Formats: sequence, structure tokens, C-alpha cells
Amino acid sequence: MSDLSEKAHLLHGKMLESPSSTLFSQEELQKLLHISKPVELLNLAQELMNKKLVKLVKQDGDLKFQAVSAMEATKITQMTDDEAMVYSYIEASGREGIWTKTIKAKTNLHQHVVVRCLKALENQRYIKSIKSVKHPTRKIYMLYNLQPSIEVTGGPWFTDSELDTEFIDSLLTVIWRFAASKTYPSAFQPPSANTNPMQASYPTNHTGFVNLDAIMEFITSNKITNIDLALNDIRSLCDVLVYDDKLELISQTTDTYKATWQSVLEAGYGRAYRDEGNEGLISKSVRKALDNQPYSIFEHYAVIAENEDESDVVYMDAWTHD
Amino acid sequence: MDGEIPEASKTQSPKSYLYTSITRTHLGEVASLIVSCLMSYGQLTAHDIGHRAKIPVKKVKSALVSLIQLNCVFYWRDDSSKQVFYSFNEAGILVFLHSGDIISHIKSSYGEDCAEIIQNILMNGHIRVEDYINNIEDEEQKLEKQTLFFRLFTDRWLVRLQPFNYHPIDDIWNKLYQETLKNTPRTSTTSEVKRVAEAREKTKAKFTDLMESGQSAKDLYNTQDGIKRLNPNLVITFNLSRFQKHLRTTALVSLAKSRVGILSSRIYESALRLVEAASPDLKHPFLQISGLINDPEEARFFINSLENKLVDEKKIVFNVRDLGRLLPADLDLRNSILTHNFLKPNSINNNKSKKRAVPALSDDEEDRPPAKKIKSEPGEEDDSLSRNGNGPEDMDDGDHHLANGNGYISSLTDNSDSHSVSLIQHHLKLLSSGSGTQFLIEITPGTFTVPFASLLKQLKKYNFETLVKTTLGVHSFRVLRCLKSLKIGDEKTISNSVLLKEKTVRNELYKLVKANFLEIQEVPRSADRAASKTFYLFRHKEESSYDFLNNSLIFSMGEILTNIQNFREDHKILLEKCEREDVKGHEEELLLEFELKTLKALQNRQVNNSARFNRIKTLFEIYSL
Repeated sequence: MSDLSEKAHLLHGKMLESPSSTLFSQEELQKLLHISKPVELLNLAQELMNKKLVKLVKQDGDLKFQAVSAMEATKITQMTDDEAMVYSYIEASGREGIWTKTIKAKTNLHQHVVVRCLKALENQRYIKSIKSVKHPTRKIYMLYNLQPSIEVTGGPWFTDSELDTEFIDSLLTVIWRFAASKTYPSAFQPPSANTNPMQASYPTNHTGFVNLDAIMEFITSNKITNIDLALNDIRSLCDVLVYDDKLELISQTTDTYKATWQSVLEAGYGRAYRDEGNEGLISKSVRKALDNQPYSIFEHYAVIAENEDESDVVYMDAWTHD
Repeated sequence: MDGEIPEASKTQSPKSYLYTSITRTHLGEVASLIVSCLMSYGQLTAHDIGHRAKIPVKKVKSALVSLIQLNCVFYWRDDSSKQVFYSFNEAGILVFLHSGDIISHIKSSYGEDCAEIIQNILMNGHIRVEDYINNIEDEEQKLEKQTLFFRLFTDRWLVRLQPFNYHPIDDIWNKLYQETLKNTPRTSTTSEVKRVAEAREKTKAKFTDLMESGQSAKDLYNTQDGIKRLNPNLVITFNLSRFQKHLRTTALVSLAKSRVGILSSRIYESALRLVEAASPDLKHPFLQISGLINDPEEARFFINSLENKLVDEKKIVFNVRDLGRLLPADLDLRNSILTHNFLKPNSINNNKSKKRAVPALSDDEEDRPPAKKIKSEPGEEDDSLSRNGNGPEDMDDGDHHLANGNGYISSLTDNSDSHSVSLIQHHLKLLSSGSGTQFLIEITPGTFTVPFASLLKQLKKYNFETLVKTTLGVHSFRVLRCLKSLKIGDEKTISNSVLLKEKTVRNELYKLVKANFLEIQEVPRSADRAASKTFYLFRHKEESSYDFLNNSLIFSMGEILTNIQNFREDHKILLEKCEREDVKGHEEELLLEFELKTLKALQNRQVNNSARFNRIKTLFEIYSL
């Protein structure tokens, strides 16, 4: 830095004043320093280039200049030429990262050299190796201080590039429970006098069902997860719940959901009037009528599994197998 | 001479397997051989049946008489060859299949005496009213029975049996059609296509006339001593289609129960019963005639037109007031519709106010928005409420609440009357728009109709999906429903939308494909169609899946019947011993201890298997609707 000419120093300083990734054309640089002759600029640029304080970048066929901070420059000057070349490609790949094979192809270096360079750079904590969800087997490198992009990590559902089903399932349960309590509040409480034990629904003009914002708010305010979720992520969770027939979209709305009654029943709620000790809630004749209901597959949860005689079991696919 | 029932009856089609099994248990080996034979060959003469089934013609003929009597076989005399052809009639067997349920349903809704009549008719296939009545000695009882007959007849559980009911519908149609075609002149100005279409339209009218002939009041009833009763000369039989409507009601009520709630479903049940007798037939004869309506689009259009006609004629339309009178007495609707503030037990106005009753809505008021905002206050005992019978007398108090500004709009719920019109109205609204399934359509404020055709689709869909959930697991269920919403998709898209690992998705897809619920579409990406490069897409087609499922269910039912038959066969000696005159009624004394034990085990096993059979039957009913 010290042996830099005053003018070059000034140019570098002015270039750094703009945001870090600004690209300057030759004319812009001339304007910065009010230089009229290109030759003069050329000398300054060459000087900065030698000190690695400026990078040449090609954009739309034109050569552009980009300032490099002094710290970065010392970093690069300390590297060998090979290392610097590998580093420049990794830097160029940004948050996507770059595959070792691509580095090899682009630098035209021998495999051993590349590996050695990568090792050196990694030891100095200039770069890091990451795992990609899309290509789990590839070794991908990116700058140490960058966060991998969503395409690489797969978004919030992936932990160490594996789909975190436990995390998803627990979120699904939380969201369903939240939506269900907004749809059938009484189902989750002990039977009380001011609600009918058999069914207590909101009227059709009720509007207090949950939408994406409400779910988001619920998740953030209760600190259910420390992972940042976008509205779109919540929507995909709701979609899954719709596939599970646990939520349904209310018609003529966007993103407003209510829990399905079947899901409440399957989760074991909403049937308190059938429990022992609650016989007083419904009259005897109703109870009798309930006991004499025809079989319905929707009440599969209420059917007691019997101990089967193996030879008596029939299978649904018997027709295709016998 | 009785030949073994051939293996072919089991393998040719699941229906054949089930129907021959049923016939065997109810009517014996010969009958089931004939049924199996008719199912595989279509139409046969008595002689041919004897030849194919290797039974003497005499035996065939005597068996055919009872089969025809029980509506299990059609006959048709061919005009040109003067031969009589026999073919299989499903209706009779279906009546056997449902007989237990039919009788118990009639017993529960019409009482023992009606059930007895129905049982006798089921046993005999058909009956002349006079013959039945004349068997009764007591004059008073005779009159009583006649009224019962009349009642069952007007509710369409019994229908008049006419000669054409014994003929295959295709043959009747064909005969009429050929006649009409002959009588439609060929002219040079009209094309042949037009002529055929014209003849077809004419035949349709003729056919409908024939089907409706003999149904006029003059033919059916006579009035004696001022009492309208059934014409004693009438030959009547059980109306299977009426029972199928009842089955449809039951299935829809179960669906409503799972989607909306139990109280709404009970209201729905009453509503469906109100329109059940007039509801559209499950199968219109035109749809049964082969080659008449081929295009599925046309068939759908035809079914919808039938339904619209019934709506226009106000046959399947009901209003809230009609319904209110029919609700079961034990149905308690109080507090079943939540008001917004029910969860705040000690709200600002914690005075001992009562829930206010809203004056019953009159017709012109029903559609208004909840303008009168009456606040209902929780924390009150229901019982005390109803006992107090607090009515609208303290209305002014309600206004006071409003003035406090705390009151959330409580919709017009009247919680003092367990059958209040406004509560019923709310439940009907829930049924029509409270869930993803539209159980009812509100055509004008307070009047509703049932969209049967579209509901059947939903019914099948939900039953199918639930079956997938219970047999293949929740993940399969999720994948299937996701695929339905995507219409078509590959493994990757599916796994991204269902948030399951690709490996899991692949397993689930395999299960679904194996069960024949999904189709695979191959999208080759190289000229040699290399499997490694090929892309596979999956899709679900409802109709074919349902057909396949129905066949599987029918087959399983056949399996259970065979199983029951087999283990009874294994203990034939013991069972025969119990049937002996001297043993009957004295089993405890005459049978050894282990024999009694086996007998009990056998009985349990049979009951278990019958229960299983009945459960499969409930699903089978839905897919035969």
C-alpha cells in the first residue's frame, strides 16, 4: 500500500466509496479523477492491477474495473498464482458454490494442483466446502464468509442437506392444532354447559378462521422454530395439510383454512360425549341410536381391532393375487 | 348328478364368484350352477343350460321356475325361433345380499308387522295381495294388513310386478326399436342417420310409456267403504331400487357426519328421508340399455337432466319448516352453533343475563343479514335455561348489551328451543357451504335441494381415499391426494410438494401402482427408450380405480362366503347332529363338552366373518351406486 503513487491511491479510494460490487468503465474512472488522457489512466490502472487492488471484469464485451479492498488484496497477494486463480473462480461462483470438477476444467490445472490449492485455501479459512441438496455427491466450494443459497441448501426443510421430516411433522402438527382450535374450539376443551357436547360449529358466516398471516404470526410469536420461514413455506405446509385432509381451503378465499372435522375426530377429539364418565351429556335414546349406527369407514378409528384367525383374513388385493 | 361348481365361476369375474356363492347358500347347488352358466354364456335356452352345466333338463326347468319367481333370472321368447331364452337378473341376488338389512330397516322404521310382510315377500319373490290377505282369518287383522300394504306401497317399498319385469331390458328395447324402425319410412329427403335418430327418440317415448303403464291410480287402488286400498289383484314385489336409495342416504349421512358434524348429519338424515322416496333412481333404465347412451359426457348430462327435472317439479326440494317437524325428538340442537364470545366466560357484562331468544323468523325475514345483533351470554346452565323457558320477554335487556358495545354479533341462534328454526337453518347452511363438500343447495332462502349426482362423486372419492388411508397408510393418502391436485406429476415434483423424502415417495407410489390406483406414463428421452433416461409420470384416474376396487371388494366378499362355507363343511358332522330332531333344543344334555365348545367357536367365527362381510358390503354398496 505504501509504495502506491498518490494518484493511484486516490483512484482506489474513490472507487471504494461506491458499493463493493460496482463496476467502472474506463470513462467513469477518467471522470472520477478528471483525467483526460487514457494513457494516464492506463498507468494508474496497471499500478493498481499489479497490487491486486483492481480486478478486470468483462461485462457485455466491455472491460470494466472493480475495486478490491486492501485486505482482500493482501489476502490474494499472499497466495500463489494457482491459488489465486482457483480463488478467483470460487469467488465468482458467489452463493451457488462451484464444483471441484468445474474448477479443474476452468483453470486447466492438474487435479493434484487443484486439490492442493483448495486444501491451502480451506486451511486459511478463505473458502469452505458445502453440501448441495441437488447434487449430494458433489464436492462444492464457496467463499468462507458466504451463506449458501436456497437452491444449494434446499430451503428451511433441509438440515445438512437431508429432508428434516421430524421438523416438518412437528410444524404440521402445530399448525393443524392451531387451525383446529380456531375452527372447533370446543372440541379441545372439556365439555362445558354452554356448548353442545356433540357438535359445536361456527356458523357459515364466521370469519375467524386462520389464514397464512395468522399462522405465521402464531409461529413467530410463540417462537416455535428459530429457522426463518417465509410465507411461501407456510403455504407449502398448509398444502401438505390439505393433502392430508386435515385442513381445507375455505371456498372463495385465498389462503384461509379451516380444519376438517374428520381430522379432529381422527386425532381423538370431539367425541368426549362417548367417553366414560360423560354419560350424562347425552340422553339415553341418543346413546342407543349412536350404538346402532351402520358401519362407516370414516369411523375406522372407533373400530376395535380383533384378534384375527389368520385363515379368516381377506385382503383387499386378493382378486389380483389368488 | 349335481356337478361341482366349476372353478370358472370364481375366475371368470368377481361378480360371478359372489353371486354363485350367494345362490349356493340360499338356493342350492343346481341354482348356483345355472347362475354361473348364465353369467358366462349370457343368454341360453333351458336345453343349453342342461347341456353346459351337465344337469338334466327337467331339474334345470324346475330350478328356473324358482329362480324366475325370485327375480334372479329373466326369460325372453324369441319371435323368430319360438325358443325361450334365459338370462341372469342381478336384482334378485342383490335382494338376497341385502335381505337382512332390508328387514331390519323396515322393522325400525315401520314396525314388526311391516317387516313380516316384507320378509314374506322377499321369501316368495312376489305375491298377489289377495292371496296374502286371504291367508289371514281375522277380519280386523285383514284390514290392518291391507293398510300396511297400502303404506308400504305408497312409500314405494313395494311395487307392482308386471310381465315385462321378467324380460331382459335390452330385448324389450330391441324389439320396440326394430318395430319403430320398420315403421319409420325411408325417404330420399332424410338421411339414414336422421331416420335412426328419429326412431330412437320414438322408441324412447314408447319405452317410457311401457315402463309407466299399469301405474295409474285406477289400476293400483280401489276404494271400498270410503277407504282407499290396494287393488287385491295386484301382484307386488319388493322394490330394490327403493332400498338402494336408502343405502345412498345412509352413506351420505356418514359422510356428512365425518365432514360437518354429528348433529348436522342427523338433520341431514331427516332431510334426505323427506325426499328419499322421490329422489332420482340410481340407475335409469336408459342407462342400462347397452348402446343407447355411450358417451360418458352424454350420460352425465342425462343424469343431471333427470335431477333438474325433479328439482323443477319440487320433488326433491324441502324447506326448513317441513324439516323441523320431522326431526327426531331426542335431537338437541341447543348451543350447537357457536357465537363468537362463547369462549369468554366472564365477559364485561357479567350480569346474570339469559341467552336471548330471537323471535322465530318468518319467511320473508329469513334471508336478512343478522341485523338484530343480540348478544348471547355464556355461563348459563342449559337445563335451567330450558326450564325457565325464558323467551323474548327480556328483549330490552338485549338492546342494552348492544349499547355496551361489547356484544359481538351473535348470529340468530335461539338456544332455548332444541329444535328452533334458526338453529336448523344454521345447520342446513353448514351442510350447504360449511365444508368443502356441498351436501345441500339452497335454491331460495329457506328451501333446499340435494345435488345427488355430484354428491355421489364426492362420496366415492372420500370413501376411496379413506380406504387408501386405512389400508396403505397416511403417506400413501397424502401422495395420492397431492397427485390428484397436480393431475400428473413425477416423483420429484411430488416429493417437493408433499415434503416427504424421495425414497418414501417412491415406496408409496409403488404401493399405489401395485394396488392399481395409479397409472404410469412413460416419457422416453432417448431414441432407444433407455429406462435409465426415461422419465416416468404418474396419474390417478377415478373411474378405473373405482371399478378395480369394486371388483376387489366383490371378490373379497365371495372369499368370505366361501370361507364360511368351508369351515362349516369341516364340522359338517357336528352341525348335522345339531340339526337332528332329537338333538334340537337339548344340545346341552346330548352334546359332549368339547362339542359344545366347538359349536360356540364356530358360531363366533361365523359372526365375525359375517361382520367382516357386512363391512365390505357397505363399501361395495357405495361403488355400486
